[in-house]
Amino acid sequence: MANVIEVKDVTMRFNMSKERVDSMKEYFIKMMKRQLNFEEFIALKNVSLSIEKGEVVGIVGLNGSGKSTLLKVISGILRPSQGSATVRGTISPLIELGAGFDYDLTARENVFLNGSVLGFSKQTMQKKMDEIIDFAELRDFMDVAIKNYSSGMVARLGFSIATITRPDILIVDEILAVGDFLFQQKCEQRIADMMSGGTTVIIVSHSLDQIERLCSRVVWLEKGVVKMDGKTAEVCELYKNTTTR
Amino acid sequence: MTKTKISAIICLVVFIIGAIIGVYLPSRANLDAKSKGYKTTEILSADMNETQSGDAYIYTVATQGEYVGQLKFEGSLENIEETASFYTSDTKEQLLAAENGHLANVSLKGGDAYITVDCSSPYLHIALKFEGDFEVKSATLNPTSLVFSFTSIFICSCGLLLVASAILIFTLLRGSLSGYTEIAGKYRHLVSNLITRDLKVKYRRSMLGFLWSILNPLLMALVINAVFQNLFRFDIDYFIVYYLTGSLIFNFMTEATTSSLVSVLNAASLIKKVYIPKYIFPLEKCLFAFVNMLFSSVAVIIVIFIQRMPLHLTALLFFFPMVCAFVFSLGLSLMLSSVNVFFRDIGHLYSVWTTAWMYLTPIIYPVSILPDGLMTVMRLNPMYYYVSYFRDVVMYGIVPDVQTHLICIIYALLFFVFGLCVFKKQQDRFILYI
Repeated sequence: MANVIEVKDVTMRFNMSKERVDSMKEYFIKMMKRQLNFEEFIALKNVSLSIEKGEVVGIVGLNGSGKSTLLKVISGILRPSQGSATVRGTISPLIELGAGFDYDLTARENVFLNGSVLGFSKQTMQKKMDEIIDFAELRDFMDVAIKNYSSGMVARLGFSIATITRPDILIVDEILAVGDFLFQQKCEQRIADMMSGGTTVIIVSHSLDQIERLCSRVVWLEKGVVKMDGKTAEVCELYKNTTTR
Repeated sequence: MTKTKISAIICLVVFIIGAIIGVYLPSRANLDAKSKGYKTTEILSADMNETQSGDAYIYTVATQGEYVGQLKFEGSLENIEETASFYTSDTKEQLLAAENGHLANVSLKGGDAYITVDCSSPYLHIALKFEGDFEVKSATLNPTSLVFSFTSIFICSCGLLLVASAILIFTLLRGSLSGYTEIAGKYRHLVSNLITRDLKVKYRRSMLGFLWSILNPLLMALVINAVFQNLFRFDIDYFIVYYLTGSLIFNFMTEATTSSLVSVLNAASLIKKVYIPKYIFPLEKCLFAFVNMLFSSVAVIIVIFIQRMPLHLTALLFFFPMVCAFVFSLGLSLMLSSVNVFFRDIGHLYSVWTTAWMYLTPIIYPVSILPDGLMTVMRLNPMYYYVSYFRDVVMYGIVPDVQTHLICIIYALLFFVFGLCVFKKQQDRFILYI
């Protein structure tokens, strides 16, 4: 089967200046004094990964191991310093729920705005409006400005918009930790539906239970390097044993 | 890196070559005279005989039998007609009627007139016609000096540069330019949604809503009119219309660029979390300002009717300066918004710069009050061309000449191409700095 995601030898480097240089004056002074030395930070190092269509891949690793960076490289938000990431198909990135919401606008207006961020027309969103409202359980609050929403409400609306159409690839970063457990179950149910429909899913989570429940394959990142890549049971077992020791 | 350096060098070389061509073309005849060793003589107006015959002025120049290929008249000769006639004689006094001479070609460069005569005789009589005031200071036979004409240098160098950069962009960035066409497809809706959002947010909680876009310039015009009719009087017909037409175009530019300046920074939350082509943000701000300008032009129409200004058919050309100003502002916006990510100082500096720019553009004063030195600076100001083009077609019923059209287009495309290059080079680094 064809690989829908192909990450080839990706290295991601960040310049960490000790202090931020934000103004031209500072920049020139620092340049004159030759203090413009950056410290390099390597978030990903020669990561290669290929994911087939329909696979559900979990990514585990401690904080700072490069999980989110990898997701951002795959979804095209970050361009890798070296190597390439090729993706075939539409991506729905759930890296943070409610990205692109304008907090001064009402929920209804935001549905259209956020839909267009994902590339959907007004007509498409109009058709799906009822479905979105029902899933988010926010029927009474659709004409309220989002700034008055609670964080759980924002997350629910964000999730329902992002998953309203069936993308080829769904990227989920830690977002299932929001909302009450009932809504979490609903989200998981929806993701499971998508998987059965042939959507490729990448999940980053610290909850190993969730990973074990949903994923068929797990990639373990440590300090920017792929430490292990294989069957869920094997990787999770080893990960648990190494990190809890 | 090397690719960019090479293309920068190519662009620079092309620009210099263009500038040289721009000097060479108008000075061709002068250089020719120099290479053939013709004698260059300067004659002051006191030594020329000036007689009036009919509607022509005849200047008699003693040439001592030297060959004269070209003749340069210096002074303020902007009103000269394009053809002149000349005839030769052995004595100073022999005067023929102006119509009986040979036809001579007149070309105007700066305030000087160049007349091709191509003859040798002791005395040369030249009949010139003028359509207004003029002054002849001196004349030069076979001038050899180079002609530095701003418009010809500008058109040649920038025109060549445009062609070169277009070729470079399409060869170097052929593959990577693909991301810039997404606007037509997937992200069309995003742009229109962002514009409606901006409209909604701008007029949220105001009773009159978008009517303010029309009312605001009207009220501004009242204030300016009160100040300028009483404190500083300029001799301008329909002063309110003069002010409104100027400020319409100029305010569009400032609104578009100042809102674009922070557009990338303000979109940080989006850029960090979703993939969106980043040029959408400055583009959207420019389009929004453009929509606003269209609303505001209703104010201009209202004032034209109130003042009972005569309407001209040429006013239908109003869209040309608007579109040029849009492309120009878009280029400037792309440049500013990307540089502002790395150096936030630009934002503070830019507001000062727009104020200076406003006074450098004839919005509240007529161009005629400017001294020559400032007029040269004015010719470097793209907004001057857009504003005066707009006034020409709307207020005075004049269609500007081809040269003005070219300058308008070249300025717009030059800034657009340059802005796009800067933006494209920097856009992948934005996320690390916002």
